[in-house]
Amino acid sequence: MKDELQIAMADLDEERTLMLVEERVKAGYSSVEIIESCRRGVEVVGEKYSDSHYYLSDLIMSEEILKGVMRILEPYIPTNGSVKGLSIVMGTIEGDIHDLGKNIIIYLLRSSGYQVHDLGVDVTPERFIQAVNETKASILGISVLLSFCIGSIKKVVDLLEDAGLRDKVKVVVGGYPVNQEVKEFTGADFYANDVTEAMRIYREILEIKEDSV
Amino acid sequence: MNEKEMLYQKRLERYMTAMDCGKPDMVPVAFGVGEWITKYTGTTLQEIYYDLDKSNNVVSEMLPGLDFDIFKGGPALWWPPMFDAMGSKLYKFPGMGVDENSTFQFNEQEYMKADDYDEFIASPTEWLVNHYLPNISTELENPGSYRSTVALIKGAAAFAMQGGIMAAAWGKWTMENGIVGQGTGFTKAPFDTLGDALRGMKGVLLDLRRRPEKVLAACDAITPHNVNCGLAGAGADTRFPCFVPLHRGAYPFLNPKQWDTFYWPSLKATIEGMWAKGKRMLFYAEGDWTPYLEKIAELPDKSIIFQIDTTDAKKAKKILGGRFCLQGGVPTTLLTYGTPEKVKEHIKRTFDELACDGGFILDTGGVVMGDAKKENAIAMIEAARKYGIY
Repeated sequence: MKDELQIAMADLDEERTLMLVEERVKAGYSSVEIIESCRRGVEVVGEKYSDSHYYLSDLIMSEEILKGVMRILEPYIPTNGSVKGLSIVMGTIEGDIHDLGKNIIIYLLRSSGYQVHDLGVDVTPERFIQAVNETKASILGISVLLSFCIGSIKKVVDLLEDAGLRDKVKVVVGGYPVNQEVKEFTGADFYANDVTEAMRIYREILEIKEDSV
Repeated sequence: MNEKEMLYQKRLERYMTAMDCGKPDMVPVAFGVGEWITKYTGTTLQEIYYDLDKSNNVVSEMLPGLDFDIFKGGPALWWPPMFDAMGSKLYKFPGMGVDENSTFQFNEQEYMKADDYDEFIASPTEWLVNHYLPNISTELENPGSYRSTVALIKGAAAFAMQGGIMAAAWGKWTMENGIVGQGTGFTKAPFDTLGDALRGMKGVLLDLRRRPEKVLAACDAITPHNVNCGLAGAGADTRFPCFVPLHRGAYPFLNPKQWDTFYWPSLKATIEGMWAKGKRMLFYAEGDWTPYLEKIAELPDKSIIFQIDTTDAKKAKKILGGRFCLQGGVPTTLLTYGTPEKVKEHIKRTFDELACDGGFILDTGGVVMGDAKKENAIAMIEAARKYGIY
């Protein structure tokens, strides 16, 4: 790994990352090149998280640094930025306003080039269905922290069934209280308690779907 | 001594013995009437939260005939009218910001800004009064104004009213059912005070890299206040532990170096500060604390009761058992998705693994929410008595 910007990003050195981005903008690098260096840095951050070298606080820091990078690059980014074809809908279930886990996953997916529609928090089952329908998403990610909200996730899955969308979308539930029992109760396809597991599931689904496109 | 008083004494002894890592006549059982009760009472959660009499009556009707030792309280954690009197922005309550049958939620914001650190560190309580209260309450926005003064009086009066009503209710429950209250007093880990209430999760986690020295100084400044809060709130009682819900120290929020540097020293100092006055902590380790068990084992013997939520129970027993009482053993999801039979089987297994040589209190791992089933909660108590005799 020789790219200094990638290294600074991977080391979570905020000051140095932003300084290098400014320098490269001045030196005439394209925004796509600069973003690519940062993205590779974020990839290393993700790997370090999987290896337990980095923890949630580190992921959040990397997200914050990337936001700073994007603020600098915004004026230089072409409007029709390229993204991978498959789209993902994500949100925190109705009754729950916790969004830390969801935001981290969205950030990691977006920095891998996927298009994620973030519905925010306290999202009703009907709103999830509407979004899946509108975006033709391949994956629906539902985040939950409060166990009593899990009933609404089951409702989402039931409504997908009613709308004839169930076999078009994989449902992933994520959060502190989910486990095999919750997966079975809600009828979701996958569950994850942590970022590493969630990203593994998303990548697996996306690779299969991409192959079949 | 009447029958209930004798029962109280027996249960108290059971609790005290387990807390001191001994082996009582049977495994003590902790029990709380959670929000799940609302489903069985024909009331909304909003009524339960706002109407203390209604909530207390529900508990009074539930308790007789249930054989457990340690009572953890009724379904409403907060009394919203106190917050409403001050125009508090801190919570959404059932029927106020969330559905009438949804539980309360904390509205986390950076109520303290990064620029506020120095003033806060210089005098935490002064900063809270001058800046925090105006930040978190619409009615207290202009300190010293007529409106603010009245709201402050109303809030304080509501706090006292709630205290009086709840003390009377606990007195009644104790006398009529011979049950023992779990704890006295409340405090927090200094890092959680900073992270939960003041800077917010994201704020404090970014501060660890952007202004680490301020975080350390703030935790140091908070520590004596949190020691005092745990002692004074309990009115000098040292028989029962002080309840301390622990948040940001759970795996995997902080990396190990951050945990060692920022989370642990001030929490350890808080525990040791209280223990020096004879006050034990109910170390309510929400989530998974497995990677930190060795560090926790450095605490003075018996200074905490360690709550097992999603921490690896066997490792907790191995590393902390014998020196610290352990509490927990029943996953909250089991009370929601299990059946009475499954609950019973689980408890039998839990006793074999965790309770064998004493120093163990059976409890649900974390807070039991509205989705739990009453029959599973009852099954937990019944199974505990059936299998819990030493």
